[in-house]
Amino acid sequence: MTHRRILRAVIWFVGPLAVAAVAGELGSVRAKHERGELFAGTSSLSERERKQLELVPARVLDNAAWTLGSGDVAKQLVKFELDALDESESARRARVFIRFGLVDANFDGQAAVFASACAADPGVCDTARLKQAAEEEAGARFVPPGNRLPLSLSGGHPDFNAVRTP
Amino acid sequence: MAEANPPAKLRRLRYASALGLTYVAALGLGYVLGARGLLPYGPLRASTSTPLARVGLALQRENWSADAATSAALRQDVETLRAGFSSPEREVFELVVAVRGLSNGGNLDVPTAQQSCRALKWPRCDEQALAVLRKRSRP
Repeated sequence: MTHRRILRAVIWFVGPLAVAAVAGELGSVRAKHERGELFAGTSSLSERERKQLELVPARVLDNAAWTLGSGDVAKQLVKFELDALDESESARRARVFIRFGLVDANFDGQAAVFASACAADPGVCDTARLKQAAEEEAGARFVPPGNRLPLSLSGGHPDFNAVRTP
Repeated sequence: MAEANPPAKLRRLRYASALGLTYVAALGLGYVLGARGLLPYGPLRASTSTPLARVGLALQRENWSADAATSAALRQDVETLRAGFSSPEREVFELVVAVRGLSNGGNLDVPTAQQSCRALKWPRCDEQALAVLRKRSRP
């Protein structure tokens, strides 16, 4: 009698459950395949890897606006990326602060932003290194403002008429 | 005795049908739940994938080209992200999508990019500048 009950439980409960489990796994695998390689490439990441990838769109938008964008849009996108970055991204935060300083027309504002860059990454606290980083950022921008070093870093007046062509 | 056989056969038939239907239902239900990520296990449930991460991965690639399923899924992700951005991030995102060809098989979509660029009133929207933007907009 007990064996019969066990057999019935296996046939009516365990069996269908096992079939459902296997079918569910197959359904998941097929759905994963249908969602494409980007889904597969991002479906088993560590928390840090996922965060890094999620920062990429903000960085790309900032880079795009920094390359060709008008001053206002470049500033807004710099802030957009800055908001997305956390404290661990110190080097990038410093670069973004430097970008902000380059498009800031106010001398006091520039000084404050460059100080923030130094606070974010002590590697740019030295004036020579700050100037080098600012030169790199200004060089990556093809339209004014921000494609020339500010007076506080250049040590002389920049060429007004120079507009870099890509 | 001859009359008792048909009901016994019928009972067996009903039993087999009920059992078969139970297994078929379990198969169908399991598959549908699995495909929708509703099972408490499986690759979809445990997935860390998000639209932002998927678009990030696409943008990270130097040249973008993919199969139809991946392209269709990417277009959907791009739309999800676009809807979540406010201005001017949305317009810059549209420009980046066109410049990087995320909705165009990885090829620079010049007319769409120029349209987005002009809507943003950026100083330069010529093809040469957009080609530079394509290169420079990488992370």
